Amino acid sequence: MSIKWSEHACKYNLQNEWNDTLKEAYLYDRLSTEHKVRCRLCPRNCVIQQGEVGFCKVRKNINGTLYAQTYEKAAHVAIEKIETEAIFHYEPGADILSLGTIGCNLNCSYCQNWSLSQAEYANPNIISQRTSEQIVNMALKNNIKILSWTYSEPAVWFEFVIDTARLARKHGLVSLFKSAYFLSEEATDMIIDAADLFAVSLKAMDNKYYQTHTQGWIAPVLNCTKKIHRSGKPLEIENLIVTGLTDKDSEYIKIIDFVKKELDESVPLHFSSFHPDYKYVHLPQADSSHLERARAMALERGLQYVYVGNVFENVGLHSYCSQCGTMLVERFGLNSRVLETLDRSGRCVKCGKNNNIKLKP
Amino acid sequence: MKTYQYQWPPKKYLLHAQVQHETDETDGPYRLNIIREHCDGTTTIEPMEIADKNLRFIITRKRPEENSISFSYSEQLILSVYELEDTAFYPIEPYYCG
Repeated sequence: MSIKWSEHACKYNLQNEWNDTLKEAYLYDRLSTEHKVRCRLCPRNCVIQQGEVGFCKVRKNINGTLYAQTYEKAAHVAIEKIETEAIFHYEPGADILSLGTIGCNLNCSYCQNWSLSQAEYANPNIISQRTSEQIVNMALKNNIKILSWTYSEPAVWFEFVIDTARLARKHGLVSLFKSAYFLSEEATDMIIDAADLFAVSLKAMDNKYYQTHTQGWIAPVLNCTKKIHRSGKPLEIENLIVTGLTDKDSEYIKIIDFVKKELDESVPLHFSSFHPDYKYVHLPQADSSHLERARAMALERGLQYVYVGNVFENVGLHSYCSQCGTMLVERFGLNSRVLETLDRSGRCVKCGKNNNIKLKP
Repeated sequence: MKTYQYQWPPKKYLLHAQVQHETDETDGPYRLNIIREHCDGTTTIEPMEIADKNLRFIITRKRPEENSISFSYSEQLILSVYELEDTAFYPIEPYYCG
């Protein structure tokens, strides 16, 4: 059962209900005229009038100060597996504490979490108050070492993510930031500093596609992705294959070439299947044959680690040695089984190749 | 103990389960057993202790032969089960609550 979106879906006014745990935004300018502010979190640089919110609907100008209304407000908290986030090369099988809030600085027409990402449709009753300390304690109590900032766009509770990630690090936890990375340069720098591993949701390689189907644009996404790669921190890329839109060889090749030429052939790439949701319920789910074709093309063009996603029984879920082809990690659904062919340092036992897979301690 | 059984449909692999204490006053941890039932009649039991007043977690089908999953849990707990259409999906309408 799921809530169906329609033009008349129930809308809420959160702006007047969310004033209890405001946090002044980290990245904004006060403008000289009429208490206006300019948000610097994402490339939109929204100029926000007194009493109004930006595109994301959760950052509000109150008397000339920009506040993050989502601070300490969690809409989603769940213990999941790291494979949920299309991360296959960092501690396969690890439990993560997944966290999300409401709001988004994009508006993807196929968003599966639209009733949360599009703040006007988010029912305030799902929000729970959680401090950074409570989140860290919850992870520790449940023996979880990884916080995952995910679901809708985690950038819109930027201040809370930064503060909690810093606290988490002091307690030996790491933070995974799964995002569309439609961020400003300075926000990217702060996230790279605060978080430890990164999952990029790369929608397409076409600016027109971004404009039409996400209401964003592509250049900042690619810049952020390259910047993360240059930081040397673990990075994996996920591309959602949307039926009739991005299920084309020409699209696969653009993404493959970006990873190979602008990043590195060893960066894991995941081709995942879209499922019909939000405004795109009329499109069928992407068939696994498209994922398999995209994966085959990527391997053929030299990428070393290519996976399929949102399918649960497929050879494209397993990790193989990029040199000799030996299977190293076997997967069924989101379950991972590290095989004896992979040693503790991430090397293939058979040929000695380092496959950059960090195992659980 | 309360019980609930979920039959995996052919192409479903993921659930979210959420357990909540009926009251804020808790003497937990409370017990929750997840029982995986296979088509050859065998079962595996995964006991959990729920200390949090409200805990949501993912359950993944572990192998193709697993055809159902049962929850056995303390009377003081309320179980909600959500079907996941997708990974990184957070449904807000439960498939089952009781």
